[in-house]
Amino acid sequence: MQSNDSDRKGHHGISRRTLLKCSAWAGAGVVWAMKGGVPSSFNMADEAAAAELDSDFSFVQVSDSHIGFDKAANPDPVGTLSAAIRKIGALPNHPAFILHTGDVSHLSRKEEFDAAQQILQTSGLPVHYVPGEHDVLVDSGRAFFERFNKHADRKWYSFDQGGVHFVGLVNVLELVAGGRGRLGTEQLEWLDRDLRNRSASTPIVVFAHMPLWDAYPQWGWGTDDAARAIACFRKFGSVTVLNGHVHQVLQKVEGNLSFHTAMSTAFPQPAPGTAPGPGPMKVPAGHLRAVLGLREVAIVQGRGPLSVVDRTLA
Amino acid sequence: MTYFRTTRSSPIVALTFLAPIFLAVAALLVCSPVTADPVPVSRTEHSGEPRAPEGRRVARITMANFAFSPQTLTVPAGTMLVWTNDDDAPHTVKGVSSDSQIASQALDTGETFSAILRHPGRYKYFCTLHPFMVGWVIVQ
Repeated sequence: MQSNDSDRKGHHGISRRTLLKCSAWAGAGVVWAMKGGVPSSFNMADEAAAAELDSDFSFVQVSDSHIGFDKAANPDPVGTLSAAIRKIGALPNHPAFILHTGDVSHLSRKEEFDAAQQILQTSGLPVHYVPGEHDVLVDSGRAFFERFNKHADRKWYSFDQGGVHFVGLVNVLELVAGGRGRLGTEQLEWLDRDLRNRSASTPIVVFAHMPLWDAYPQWGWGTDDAARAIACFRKFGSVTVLNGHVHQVLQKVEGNLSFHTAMSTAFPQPAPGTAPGPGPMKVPAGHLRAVLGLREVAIVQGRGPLSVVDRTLA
Repeated sequence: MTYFRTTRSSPIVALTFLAPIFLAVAALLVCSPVTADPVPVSRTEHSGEPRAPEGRRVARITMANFAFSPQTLTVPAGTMLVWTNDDDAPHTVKGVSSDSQIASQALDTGETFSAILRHPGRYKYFCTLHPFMVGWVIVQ
């Protein structure tokens, strides 16, 4: 083993060598870093760039845990969600909290929510949830909102942490035939008020289950009335939109806005248009954990970049 | 209207009784101004269905690959419609009108929902989980 700068421990007690080894687990080996709203990518083999990931504040996104699913694509979503939580515990940059972008359960059943919540609580971190369409199957999602909602009078919310403004949106209620996701007028008006007086230099992170851009409308991967929400976000220098629903990483950049869908912790779905429908996709058993994963987002104070790193379970 | 949700199988009425009726309906449809949809194909299958009352016509719609098949189905009034989920994902069946009788719970793989529509009309429905899945039942 040669000794060089890579072995010296950096700001958070982790050496660059270890960081690179961990990062080799990431699906594509590419890290997108946001600087002033414009993403740039660098290969994880670039050690100098990797050092940029030293940060003051990071959090994790998990999505589509589908507890209760039991078909061939993954008979054990409890096991794979648990593996994701163990991986979160081993992350070098200790995350401040977890965002769950929905489809916590598979069929909105109490025992599914119980199991998911218990597993997520083993992380020891606060968890912020938004529902997926699988979470609101019964009584307009009463069981989900009674368990996970922050406010009595509305289902969407925002909070501030580390100088970043986080917005949790709900776009899976009152869907209409032939449509995609839907935010609704009441939520859009709340969003407008929530953002109106904030400084344009505040980094914004938005999280919602269904994609807030037209990732693939033929399979309903989009939100019918997202344009009005996007208009509210445009004044900000850095907006990161985190979505779920599609069980794979799709990304899009539009000026100061970057959109990222996430891997599921339960099962993958086909790439757009590569299958007759967006259903659970079977992969060879040994390969499953390589297509499931979580996402780490790091914010570096004063330097602007918001890095987004997708990590698979295997 | 009565409706059922069940997963048990039972015997089915003979096709020969239904064939002339569907042929007549198809002929009417060709001349009808009601729809520009594809010519409806109606078929019954011998797999996992609810117990139909004696003499009740049954027509089936499957959910497969995130689509209703047949997407447009024309039936005589009083037919029992049976939707069956053949996908690995759950689906629902929900009529678009607010007082629609087509209103299933979430159906997991293999589960069915049944409804009997007694009044002529064009009934549009969709899956609330995957709203790009849309279908029609035309009751004559």
